[in-house]
Amino acid sequence: MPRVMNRLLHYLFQFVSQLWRRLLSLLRRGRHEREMEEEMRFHLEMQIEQNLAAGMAAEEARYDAERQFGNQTWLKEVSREMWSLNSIETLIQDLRYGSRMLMKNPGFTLIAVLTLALGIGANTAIFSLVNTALLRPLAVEQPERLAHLYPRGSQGTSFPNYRDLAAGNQAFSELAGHAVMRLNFGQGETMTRVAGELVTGNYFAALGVRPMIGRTFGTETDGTPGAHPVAVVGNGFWRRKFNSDPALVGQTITLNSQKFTVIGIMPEGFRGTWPLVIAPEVWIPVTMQPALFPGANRLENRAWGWFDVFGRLKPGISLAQAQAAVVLQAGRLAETYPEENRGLERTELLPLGTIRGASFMQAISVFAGLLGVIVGLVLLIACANVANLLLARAALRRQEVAIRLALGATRWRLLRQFLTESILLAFAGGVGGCLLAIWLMGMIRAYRPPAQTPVPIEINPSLDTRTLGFTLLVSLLAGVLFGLAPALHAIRSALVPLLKEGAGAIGGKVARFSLRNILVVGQVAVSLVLLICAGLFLRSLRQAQNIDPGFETERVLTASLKIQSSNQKISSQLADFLFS
Amino acid sequence: MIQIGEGSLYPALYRMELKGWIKAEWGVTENNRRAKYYKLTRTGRKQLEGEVASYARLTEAIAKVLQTA
Repeated sequence: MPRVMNRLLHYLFQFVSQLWRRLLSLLRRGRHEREMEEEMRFHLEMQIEQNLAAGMAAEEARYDAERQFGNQTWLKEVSREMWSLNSIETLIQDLRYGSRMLMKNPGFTLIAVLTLALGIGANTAIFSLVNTALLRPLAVEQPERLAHLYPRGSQGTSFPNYRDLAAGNQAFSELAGHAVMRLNFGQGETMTRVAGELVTGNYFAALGVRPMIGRTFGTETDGTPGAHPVAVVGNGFWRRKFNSDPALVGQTITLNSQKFTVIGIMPEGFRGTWPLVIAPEVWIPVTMQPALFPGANRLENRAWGWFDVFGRLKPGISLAQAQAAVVLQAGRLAETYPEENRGLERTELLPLGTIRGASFMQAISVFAGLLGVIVGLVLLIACANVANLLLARAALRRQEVAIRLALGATRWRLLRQFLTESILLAFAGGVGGCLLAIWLMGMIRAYRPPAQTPVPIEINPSLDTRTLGFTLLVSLLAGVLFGLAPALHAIRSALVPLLKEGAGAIGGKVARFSLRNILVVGQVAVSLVLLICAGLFLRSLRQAQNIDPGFETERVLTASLKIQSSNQKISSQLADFLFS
Repeated sequence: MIQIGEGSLYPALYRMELKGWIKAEWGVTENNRRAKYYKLTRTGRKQLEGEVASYARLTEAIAKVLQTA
């Protein structure tokens, strides 16, 4: 094996160094040219001198030397080709020619670019959505070392259980917990809802994230309930509600009518650890839970599994080892409190980010895949459209092709040129697609789900490098896809009749299954499939609205009220008023 | 008979230079003319040894085949 590796490395090194030398000589082409001339002239002159010395006549000596030397022009040509980076120069040439051709036909170019922009833009927008929801890694330190405790048959872990697990913890360097809660921010008229997260003191330490300004919680916040009215706020929240004012640290904000002192602001990009669209914006010590929700103290209730527990694996401990340790602990807890902790021994450890069951993620993936197929079909239609346009244009360019072939261009060279042109077109479409995608993302961002969700949902797709890379790849693929068939078609045309009769004069045979017909048929077929899909979606949507929920929906409404007081008496008075 | 012009030497030399087997330097001849001198590099020597060895193996193999025939 090492010998093979050495060989490979050797070849790689050679390739790189040769490329380097070529690049260098490309820059010094003029000098190379001069030196080559000089060297060859020197050779000839030496030979002439020798011939003269051998007693030839001056004229005869020169001819003989040149005869012996061989075809000078050809030899120089061969040498030149060796120095030049032929392929790159050809590419630049093709690009220049291609952009000139596109500029010359602005109507065609505009239509093709717009068509492609639609197809590519739809793909980019959907990919950015998938990227945001499924692919983007957690903005925390070494997310692969984080594991989530998943008690089977329960929503989460209860707080007393978390305390016991943390006290007896062996496998994790930090065992932390968190839960998302809907909080009322502000007072009076301007009150809004925010997603808050109740966390243990070591939450930020376990994730390995640091605040941008100020500090985060320490273990002291796990002490006496209600004794630490402090908060850490997210970057987006800080930007939106406080205009990025750094003086916010040290000020108080009102959450559920309680005053909290802001002690830190998180950096951009930190959105908690939840998958998909749940992004908490305010973090509060978990011990403040009774103060935030009077009358519902969850801290002492061992049967109420509302808390999500995760930990950072100690160095050298595998997920399986940690799982064994956790099961042991959970089993003991189930034995000690059989009533409250039924089934706790079946606790599982899962990597963080796959939270809340694989089936949910699976459903999302299927949905994303379906969307992907649909926008893929849209792109396919766009490609077929542009291919058709290109075919029509190839017919007009037959004479150009014929002349170039006659002048000695190889078909491969012509194919390259046509493909360069179509890829150029596709990249222009890709740029347009990005603009379209940005606009679509704005629309997605502005969308608010009609139904009440337990926490505010924020869908925030953006154009990151991964999405841009995807767009680039899609554009390239599309360029080859719609460019290849017309290019092959154009260069396959027979040379002689074209030169003889001119482009207009070829008549007679009309192929029955020509490329154009096939393209049109394919386009219609795919469009029909999409149309049927869209119709089915609309129908299911209407049916979903007509589902009989089993109760009278007429004259019934759901309402959620922001009750501005934590005062129990006022709350109950309000309830009496509403339901009397 | 294959006829190769003397000039074919130059493309070959340039190719070997590109591959890093030889190094070119401008110098002066005995009668004070500028001329290019080529020198074998270390990689070039290695390459040469390898080529010579493989050529030797080839001729040896051919010789063996001819002997048995």
